[in-house]
Amino acid sequence: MTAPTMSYLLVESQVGHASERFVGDALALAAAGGRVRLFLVADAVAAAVRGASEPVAAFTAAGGELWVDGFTLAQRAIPRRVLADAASVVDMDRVAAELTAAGTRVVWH
Amino acid sequence: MAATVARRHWDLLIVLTAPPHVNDALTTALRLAQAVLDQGRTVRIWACGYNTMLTQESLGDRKPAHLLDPRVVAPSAAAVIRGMIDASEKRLAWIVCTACSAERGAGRHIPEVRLRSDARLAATVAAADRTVYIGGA
Repeated sequence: MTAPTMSYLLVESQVGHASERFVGDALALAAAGGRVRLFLVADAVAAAVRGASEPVAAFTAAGGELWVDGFTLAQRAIPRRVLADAASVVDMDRVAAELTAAGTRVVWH
Repeated sequence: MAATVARRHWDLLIVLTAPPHVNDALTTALRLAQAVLDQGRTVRIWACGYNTMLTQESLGDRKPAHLLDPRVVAPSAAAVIRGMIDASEKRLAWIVCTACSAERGAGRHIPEVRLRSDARLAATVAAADRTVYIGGA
């Protein structure tokens, strides 16, 4: 009998060294077989720009799901065409649904 | 047999410690809360630190005039929070930490919010299915 897949929603709102470590945690969880959604909001959306963040690229390469806040992108006039191919632009409704879903572990940085 | 008090249970508790107006933390927390409410769920927000100043009666209903366009009327933080609570059909509650409020000299709060001692934080966390800390300890 296989163990159930762990489900995580990791929210990153900042940039910098601590944020890279947080993304590293997301990578470790994804590499361990967990289903990991990394939601970038506020200043962190910059990391979703194609080529901007090696940790984020490694995370998506490991099977992690990259979510980016559409509201924040609009506020900062960041067009979707510059985002990494693996990025999915989401709204807060989707985040709320995932955040309140049974079995999802949530960390907000 | 001792009588028990039925405590209401909430879907989500947001403990908001990040200071407002420094970055997007406050607006993001409010957007998350509204999204959870839109799904028919219940939300509590525990306002810590400088977030305790957002619900002061002294803020009134409106922000100071927009000098470039006085016709623009923007609601104060207190008015935004009051409006969300009023529209939520009792599914949104805003709690002001009394310790943080007193430390910062935050005055009278709007009647729509609740004031709680930080000694009640653990019980407030226990009353929620999920707790999210925004801003760190």
